[in-house]
Amino acid sequence: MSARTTRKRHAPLQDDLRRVVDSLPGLVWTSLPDGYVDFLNQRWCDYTGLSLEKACGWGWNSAIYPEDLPALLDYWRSILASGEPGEMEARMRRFDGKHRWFLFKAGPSRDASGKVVRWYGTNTDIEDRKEAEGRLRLVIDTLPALVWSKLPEGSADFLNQRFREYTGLSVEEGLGWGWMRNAFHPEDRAEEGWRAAFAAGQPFEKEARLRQADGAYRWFLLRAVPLRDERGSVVKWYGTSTDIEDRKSAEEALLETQHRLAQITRIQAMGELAAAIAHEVNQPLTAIVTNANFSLRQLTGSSPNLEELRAAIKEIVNDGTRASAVVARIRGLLVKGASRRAEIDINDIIQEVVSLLRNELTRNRIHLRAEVAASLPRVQGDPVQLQQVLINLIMNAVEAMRLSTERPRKLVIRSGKSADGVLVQVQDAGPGISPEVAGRIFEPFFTTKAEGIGMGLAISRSIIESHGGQLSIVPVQQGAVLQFTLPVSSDGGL
Amino acid sequence: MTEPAPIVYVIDDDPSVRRAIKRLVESVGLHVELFGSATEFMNSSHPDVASCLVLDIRLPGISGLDFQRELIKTQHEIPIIFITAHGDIQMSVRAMKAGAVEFLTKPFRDQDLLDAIQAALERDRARRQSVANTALLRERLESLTPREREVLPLVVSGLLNKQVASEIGTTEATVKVHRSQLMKKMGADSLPELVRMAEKIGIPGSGR
Repeated sequence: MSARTTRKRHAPLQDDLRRVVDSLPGLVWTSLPDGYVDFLNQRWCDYTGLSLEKACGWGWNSAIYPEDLPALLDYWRSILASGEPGEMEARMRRFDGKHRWFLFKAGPSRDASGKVVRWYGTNTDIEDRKEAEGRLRLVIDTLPALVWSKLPEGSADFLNQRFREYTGLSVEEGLGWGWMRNAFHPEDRAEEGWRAAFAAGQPFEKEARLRQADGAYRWFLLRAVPLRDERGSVVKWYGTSTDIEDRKSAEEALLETQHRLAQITRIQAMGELAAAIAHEVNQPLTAIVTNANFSLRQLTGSSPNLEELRAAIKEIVNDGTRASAVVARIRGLLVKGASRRAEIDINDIIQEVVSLLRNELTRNRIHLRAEVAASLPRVQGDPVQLQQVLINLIMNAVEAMRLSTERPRKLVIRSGKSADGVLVQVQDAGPGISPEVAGRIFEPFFTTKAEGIGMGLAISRSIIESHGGQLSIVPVQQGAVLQFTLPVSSDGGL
Repeated sequence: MTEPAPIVYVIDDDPSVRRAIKRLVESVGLHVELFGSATEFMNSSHPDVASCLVLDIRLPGISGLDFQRELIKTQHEIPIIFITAHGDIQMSVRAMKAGAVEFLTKPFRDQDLLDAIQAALERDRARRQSVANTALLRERLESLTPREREVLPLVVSGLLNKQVASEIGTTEATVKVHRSQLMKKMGADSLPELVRMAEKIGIPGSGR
């Protein structure tokens, strides 16, 4: 069937109707079911400067911006085939040669049997909207932030150009959950946490590290605000991710300074303690060294004074004993007072210490995992002393990881059953304990820390042993594990 | 020349340290006296012999450093060797600036202490010698006639006999006589020696 015969059968509009259509403030057209355009209104012809004759059939193609034409034709054919209404944007040339954006809309008209008999279409000038959109897009793309919108459950459906510029990823790689999976620091990819934040439906802020195109990570503040429908359910999330690396490092510097200050205060107190200890221990040592030197002089001389020699050596023995008593006394002093025993659940101790140290851990960005065993036997112990031991072990672990930048700072506190009671382990991901250090680590005054006095583990060991338990290093491949045991029976020490 | 035996005073609050030092120092033939505090030391009598002080910084009551200052203020110029169990640089600088002979950290090497004691005693001997010399010179100054005492500052200030003569209104020959008399009485062999003596006893004009 030729177009011409079809055209004859379906005569265009009646004259009066045609006048109405021609004066409509829009471009209107009709086509035959095969897409052959058989009518364009006056406004259409006025806009394009094409005559009806020239534009009919497929002649209108010449008014379409060449770049937009292939897609438009493809689309036009696809809706012709489907028989469903459709719309598409494309640029159309005005009579003066200027192109403007139009929204092309087409819908079918069917006969009683449902067969398409004609297509009706409008072309709406959307140039102004397009321009505004473009301006808006420019604003969004040049904002000094990553701008995005996300579906109610959190998957991204829009990311501005900044995302691409910052991450070096394509926008597609950031869509869905790619904004997190592909761009976040592995430690910050807590998908459940993010899903929970979106599910809560309240505006929220979260911090995360985003990978830059060059691989470096910077801290960002993500702010999300929900858009709700009239029933109050979230339709969409809008948000920004702002680079806060500088603020973050300033904060860190401040914390570092505060930490240093606290440490200096502690060192000062420790310095005074150390002076007292040094004096106390050095006195007998001075006497020992001097007496020993005297003895050597006597022995190398021609006629040693045996009486004095005996007296000197006797004093060496006495002063040696005195020095060790001083050390014992200091240790006793630091163990602090008499121990008070109570029946305790070791998990309670762990919980208290963890809540006590939470700030310290957060500040050092240490990820804590507590793996406590349920229904452990209760043990006899001094809660304060045991807390002291646990704090000491955890602070050592923190110290060990404070300098490490590569390994994730993971701290695991474990409790479990031991052969005759319970055991507690503190595991860090620090550089580990070398065999040489392991051999001496529990000695009083042995330390690997610049500002340590080397009493922490010595005292901890004294405390655990006074509870009838053992404090030891558990050999591991990576990091360090320190463990103490406590027997269930209360017959240990005291 | 035989001098009376020098004394090493040791002030330390730790009897065991005191005894050990005494034993060591006596083994090189020196006389040692022990004290538990600065007050104890001040309340004892000290014979007029060369001596030195081995002083602990940390002492009950007045500290070693404060005691050093006290001694300087009251012109007890005994050389001091500090010993301390926990000294810092600041402390040692303060002690050395105030004239300490040595600052030893406990436990010290025996030879370091003995060397310091020798140096301290040497310094005290020299000081005592100079004090004795000054006393002798003052005595000699006393033996000059009023006219000779008038001539002395003019001579040591570098004036020629002629200038001295016109200054005090006499002849050059008379000045020559006064001059040779006072040189003999003071025991000076030359003008430079006389100038040094005059400096020591504080004759005006000699310090130019």
